[in-house]
This record gives sequence, structure tokens and C-alpha cells, in this order.
Amino acid sequence: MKQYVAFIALILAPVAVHAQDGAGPLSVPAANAPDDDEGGLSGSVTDESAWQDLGIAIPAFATNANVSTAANTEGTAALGRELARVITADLRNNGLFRPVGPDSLPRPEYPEITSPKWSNWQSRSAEMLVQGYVRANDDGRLTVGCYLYDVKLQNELVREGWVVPPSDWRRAAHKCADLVYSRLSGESPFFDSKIAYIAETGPKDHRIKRLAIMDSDGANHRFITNGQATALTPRYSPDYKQIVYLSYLNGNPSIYIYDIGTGKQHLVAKNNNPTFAPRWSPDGKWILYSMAVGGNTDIYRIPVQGGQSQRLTDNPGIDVGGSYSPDGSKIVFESDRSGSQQIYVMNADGSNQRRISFFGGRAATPEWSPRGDQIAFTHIVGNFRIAVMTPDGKNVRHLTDSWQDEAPTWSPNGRIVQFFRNTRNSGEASLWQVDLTGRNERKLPTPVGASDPAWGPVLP
Amino acid sequence: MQIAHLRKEEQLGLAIAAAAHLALLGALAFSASRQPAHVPVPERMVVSLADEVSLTSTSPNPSQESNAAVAPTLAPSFAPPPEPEPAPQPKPEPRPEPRKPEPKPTPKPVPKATQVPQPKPAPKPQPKPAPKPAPKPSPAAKPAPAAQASAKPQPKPAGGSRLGDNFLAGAGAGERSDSRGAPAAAFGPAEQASLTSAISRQLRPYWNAPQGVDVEKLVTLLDWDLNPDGSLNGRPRLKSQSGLTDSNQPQAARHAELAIRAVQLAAPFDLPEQYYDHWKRVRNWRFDRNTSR
Repeated sequence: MKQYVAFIALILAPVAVHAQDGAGPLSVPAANAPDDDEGGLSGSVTDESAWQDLGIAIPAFATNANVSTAANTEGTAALGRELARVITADLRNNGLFRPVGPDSLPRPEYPEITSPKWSNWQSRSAEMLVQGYVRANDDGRLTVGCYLYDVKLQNELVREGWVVPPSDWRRAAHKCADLVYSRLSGESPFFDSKIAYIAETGPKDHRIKRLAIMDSDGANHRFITNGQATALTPRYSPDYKQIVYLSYLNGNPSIYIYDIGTGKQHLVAKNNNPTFAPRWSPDGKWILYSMAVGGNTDIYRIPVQGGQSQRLTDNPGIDVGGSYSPDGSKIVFESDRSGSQQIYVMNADGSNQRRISFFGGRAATPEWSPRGDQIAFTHIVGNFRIAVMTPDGKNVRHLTDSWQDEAPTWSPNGRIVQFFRNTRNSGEASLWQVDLTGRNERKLPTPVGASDPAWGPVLP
Repeated sequence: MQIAHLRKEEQLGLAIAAAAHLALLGALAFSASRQPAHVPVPERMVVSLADEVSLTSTSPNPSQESNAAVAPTLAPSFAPPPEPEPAPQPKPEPRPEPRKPEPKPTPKPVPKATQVPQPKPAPKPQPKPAPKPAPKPSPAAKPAPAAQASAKPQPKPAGGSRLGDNFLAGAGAGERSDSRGAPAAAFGPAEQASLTSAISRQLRPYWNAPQGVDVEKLVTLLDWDLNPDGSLNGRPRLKSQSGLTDSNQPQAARHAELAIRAVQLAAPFDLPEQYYDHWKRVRNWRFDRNTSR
């Protein structure tokens, strides 16, 4: 648990690296005076090319003096190489970039970090260059600087620096990858985050399911429950301190909240009815869950601190799997009241329930994007496919096309959908990510079989 | 007679059918007369498709035409008859005259070497050197019309109209063209299209839209200025953007930045210098992505 105390105490103060020289993201000048508007030549140019990945060169980070730190024994020079490797791994496989790592690039000297030798890089195919340095401070902490350059235009796009305790050096690398990613894609960062999932081991008919967490790149893996009771459907709380999940601790499926800081957990809804599919409200004050009472399953909500449950749906069908919109005003859920699983939306108080899925097949496990513009769900037409649609049920797009992809959840920036995939014969489950364009799919490395992934928020 | 054999019901039916047919005919005739076919005549529009880059004017070069056209036809007409008959064709004369006054001030064209030799070749086929001097002044100077008028009567039998046409062509293009100054390269729709496609072609290798949801809906309009050598004069400016949705909002700024980057990387532009006035200012240039991909 010390590790997590360290997390909270972590200082990520931006370092005053060098004076900004005005290379802001985009200086949008006021529209020029209209007087010279006429008489100009006008035309258009269209990007006809296929989507292509952006080449990024990521040489090893430089250091001013090679000293050994608590982060590793080989010293900051080796650490600089590791930092660049982590960044390369982060940026690889998400489809936007074609990173070239430190192992095949010359290492820049410390003074070159702020003024790259353009001639070295322009001969390579990379259009962008990520340089950085790592420096051991007197107080034992590390200063990591990260610079992004446009090689073709020979200008600096963005820079940032962080001071981290040696144990969190990977986070500095994730922060740098986030910086590059968000600058070049326009999206919010997401690499510096954690993922909770269900680790699956054992034979198919007697599988042990444990709750586990890890960094977004699979590092720092940790089991949280011991596997005596099957665990399912974890979800991080918005403040990232707790995980709500479903446990068959006493044979009955019940909802528990696990506190990451203290390692303790408590039962949320105390009754003998089976409860499942817990989700947090965006403000972290409510837990949305489903409960089967006398064969009829409806959606309830209950204060996180415990208390009286409030019934939101009252329908003879099975209503399950509610997910709040990011502003907390609406809930999307799944119901079979029409005869088959379909997706419905209602107000947060249970009023105004209406079906939004009218595109054939069954639709299940809806999950509202943290940005609010999309709803991810499992579309069941023969195979199970991950799909997204707008909150009005229009613009359905399939992101995957495999045998059985289930349980989509969103990355903190609402651009990547995480899900688990079952292979047809072995039943082996693995975690996958796909971006909203559907073009870029990647498998997350996990030590054992994995299902039910849930993405935690980006660390502060 | 046969009708008489029919039964009453049949007769009745026949009558009704006949009446109904008549009524139908009447209705058709009525509606036909009542509905004047108001088919709107489609407006005629001129469409110019230009997909090739031409660095030179596509409009005819006046001086060249006059040289080619005037000399041969005029020469024969002058040779045979010095008969002055101004009366028959006074009309054509005034036409050239008004034009002539304009060039008058500049007699320079006359001395031009190119024009002088040309009349010469023409006479060759018809060996009458004497008239030579006559034709020259005719297009260039006022006295000429008189001489030409005299010439015209002769062609009459052969075809008076031909002379008139030739005369006008020569007057408009020959010596007079020089009086208007150098034949400026005309800038028409074809040239405009050529410049547009030249810039577009040079931008395309550098223009890559960012990836993301709905980015194909984004359109960025840029303004920029160019120096005579094709290099950028100042930084390209974002004019406006359209096609923004909730989903592509994060890419909008990047879209504009990449468009500006494309212009910066494409510069200096290789464009015909004689049209510099037309490409020194580029306005509302549209950057988008093909939605069909």
C-alpha cells in the first residue's frame, strides 16, 4: 500500500525548463482584414492518401551526468534509454504513429536536447522527433524533460518537464507519451492511467476469476483478490481511489467496493437478492446496479455510503447494465421488454424511458462515453461485435469484426474502446483495445487470461 | 339494325360506354387546351473544364494572326485596279476608321521588321511590287482606306465581302496591335483553373488530414500571400473552419495546423511569373479530406 500512498503524494510539478519561445500549439490570428479579400486566388486541396502512420523518432534520453539512482542500478544513462523504450511502446500499436525506438537511433548529447541536430534526423523517415533528458536531483528525485519537434519544419511543437520520485520513473515516460499523443492527435491523454480487469486462470469449467490492476501498458501488474470467490465487472470510481465490482463471496452475486488505498472492501447493497452490473455515477456519489427480485430484474441506485436503494425501472422485463451519461442527467441501459435485448435511455430519475436501438439484431452492455458523444455496446448479430452509436441511436458503426467481442468500456479520453475477446475453440479470453475509427486494434499484454476490462481515469 | 337486336341492358350499356368515351375525350381536350406546356427552358450556361496547366495564354496572339491573314489576301486585290469607287462600300470603311484613330499616335508598328517582310512574300505569288506601299499605309494610316476603297470595287465581282473581312482582321491585329502595347497574356478561366490546379498539385504531397472520428467532415480555409519567387510572404492564416462536430472538435486545431504546415512545406511554389498578380494572394483555400476513402 505504500506504493499508493506514494501515488497520492506524488509531485508532478511542471518544471520551468526553458523560457517558451512562442511555439504554441496553434496561433490562430484574427481573420485578416476583409479589404484584400477579393482578387485573391482560391481553390481547394483534398487529402486523397490512405491513412498513414506518422513517423516519430525517439532516441534515448540524455543525461547531464551518469549517476545511479533508486530507479535502477545502471545509472541515469541507462534509465534514459528505458524511458525512450517505454514511450516507444506506448505510441506503438495505437495506429496513429510509427515510432522508432532508442535501440536503432543515435543518442543525442545533453546540449542537443533543446537544439536538435536537424541534419541527423532529416535524413531519416521520421517526421517528428521526441527528445528528452533525465537528471538526478540532489534530493534523490528525478527531473525528466520531454521535447517534441517537427523535423520537416524544424520547429518545436511542445515541451514539458516533471519531477518524480525514482519509483515512478515509468509514469514520467507515460506523461511524455501522453504529451506527444495529445499534441499530435488532438485528443486527451490516456497513457498515464491504470486498468482493472478480471484475471482468468484454470480450466474452462472451473475457472478462477480474480480482480487485478495494472498500468495501461501492462506493467506493475497486481492481483487484488485471491480467487476464492469469483469476481466480475470491476469499475474504477471517478476519483480513482476505489473499485466497485461484483463478487460471489457468499455464493450470491453481491456488489463490493474495494478501497485501493486501504485494501479493505465493503458490501454496498445489503440484502439477499442477487445484484450485479455495478456502475459509478459521474460524481462518485451513487452506485447504479441491477437487482433481481422474484425473477424480475430492475435497475436501482444506492448512495456509495450505503442507505436506501431507489428503484429506477419498474418493468416485467429484465432491465440491466445502466451507465450514466457524463453529465449525470441520463442513464443508458439494456432491457428485453420488447422481446430481445435492446438499448434504452431514461432520465436519471427513471422517467422518460425510450428505446434507441432500432438497427436489427440484439444490442447489449451499453456504456456511455466519458465525452458524451458516443455510446459503445455489444451488437449481437450472429457474432458479438463492438459497436458505437450516437446517444440518439443513430450512426451505428462497428469497430470490431471477430467471433466474440464483449463488454466495451471507454478510455478516459473517450477515444478508445476496451473490450475482451474470446477465441472460438479454446475459450481463451484476452483484453483488446480499438480506437473509434475501428482501424487500429491492439491486444493488451496480460500475464494470464483476462476479461471485463475497466479503464481508470488519467492520473493527476 | 344490329343494335335493335340487342337487349335493352346491352343498349343501355353501349350508350353509357359511348357517352363515357365522349366525356373522356372532352375532358382530355379540355385539359389539353387548358394546360399550356409550361416547361421551363433551361438556362444556358457556359462550363469551362480546364485540367491542364498552361503557362501561356490560350487567347490568339493578335500580331501573329494579322501577319498571316492580311498580307496574302490584300495583295491580289490591290494589284489589278486603281479604280476609285468609294461609293459602293463606304460602310465597311467607317468601321476600320474608328479603330484606326486609336493606333494613330503610334506609327511605330509600321517600321517593324516583321511586318514589312511579310507583305513582301505575299506579293511574290502575284508579282506586283508597286501596290506594296499602298497596302502598308492602308491599315496604318488614314489615307489607306481610300486606296482600299478603290481596291474593293474590283473584288466585287469576285466577292466583296472577303476583302472587308480581311481588312478588319488586318486592322485589328496587324500594326495596330503594337499600338496597344505588348500582347499581354490574357488571364481567363482556363488560366485561373491552371493556377489553381498547380497550387493544389504542389500542396497535395504535404497535406495529410489528422486521424479521428468525423475528421473527414472538417474543412479548413486558409489565406496566404506569396512573393514573386513563389516563397511565402508571412505565415498562412486560418480563415475559417466548417464541419465541426462534437466528435471531431479535438482535431479541429490540429487540422488547421497541418493545413498551415502543408503550405509551409510546399513553398516555394513553382508558378508562372507573368501571372504573379493573380497568385500573389491566395484566399479561402480549402483543405479537406476525400470522404470516399
